[in-house]
Amino acid sequence: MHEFSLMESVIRIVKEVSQNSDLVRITGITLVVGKLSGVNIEALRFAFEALKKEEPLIKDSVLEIEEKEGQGKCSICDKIIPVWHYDLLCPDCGMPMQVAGGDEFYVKSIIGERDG
Amino acid sequence: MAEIIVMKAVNAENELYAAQVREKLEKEGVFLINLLSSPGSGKTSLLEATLEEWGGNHRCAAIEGDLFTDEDARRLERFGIQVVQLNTQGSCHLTANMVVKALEKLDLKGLEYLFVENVGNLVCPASFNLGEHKRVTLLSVTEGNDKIKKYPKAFQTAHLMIVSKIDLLEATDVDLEGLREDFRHVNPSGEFLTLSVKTGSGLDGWLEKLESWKREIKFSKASVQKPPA
Repeated sequence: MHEFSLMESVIRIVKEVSQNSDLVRITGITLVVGKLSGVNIEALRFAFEALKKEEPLIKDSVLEIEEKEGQGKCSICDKIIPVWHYDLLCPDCGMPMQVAGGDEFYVKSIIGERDG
Repeated sequence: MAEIIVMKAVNAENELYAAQVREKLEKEGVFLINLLSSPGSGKTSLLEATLEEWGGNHRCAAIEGDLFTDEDARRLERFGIQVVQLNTQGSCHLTANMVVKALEKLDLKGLEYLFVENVGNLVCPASFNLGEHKRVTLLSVTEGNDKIKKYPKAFQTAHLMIVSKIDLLEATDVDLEGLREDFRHVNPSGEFLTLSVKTGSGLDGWLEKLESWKREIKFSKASVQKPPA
């Protein structure tokens, strides 16, 4: 259950960006989570709901999560192929693939209000 | 109402600390290995066997990650090496900032190898770079045939997978070739070793691997320092 500490990092980022942008109340946070990032979305939502109660800045915010599919790029045939369960052998030629997407986990945007 | 585009990786802070770890160790020529596995796969036993075999030929230190207790640290201190015990108090993995703090307690001068024994857990530690040069994931034969597929990230992110306790192989239904094949699927470029610290079988391969990895790092450091032609 590392999603708690990951959500704490998300909240630190949100606080920092809010401060730099003079936002005093956050209403929306959008995350992008790749299916190969090792992050469980249900656990992430659970951590968010638990942690937001303790943070006045985000206590009224809604969490949006955009999921990204896993993708591999074959080192031989250059094809881009959907990857599930981290299987990184090309189904066509059996050669190693590089992860070409779906391992990302980032804060995409936040929505908030400024004072006054 | 304002929308701010952020586009910041959640692990950015951890990566920053990991880079600090790496920089500090490379300045002193210390090679960092991050050991991952379930609880009880034999990480501490592998370190004991390594220290026993080397018998002081290489200067080593260890950072032991556990939720509670200093039992692992005490096991390794018997070999006369520096050991820092990190207690995460319930947290399921080490983060790079914990390693930064642990480094402050170590005398890095003259050190060759620093082993970090992560918290026993095949899930969470896989997502946290500690600044290691190499990541090694252990799986003991008593854990069965299916763990690579069930916990792929710990194996996908490893440079080397070690199947441990192979002296017990006959008592299990584990198929070593099957494990090798599953590992190849999640990590086509990863290396694969089998060993038993109890019989010593395969231990040479592990020790040679450590030495050759460290030689490669020295080589790359020297080539970086070479002035451009």
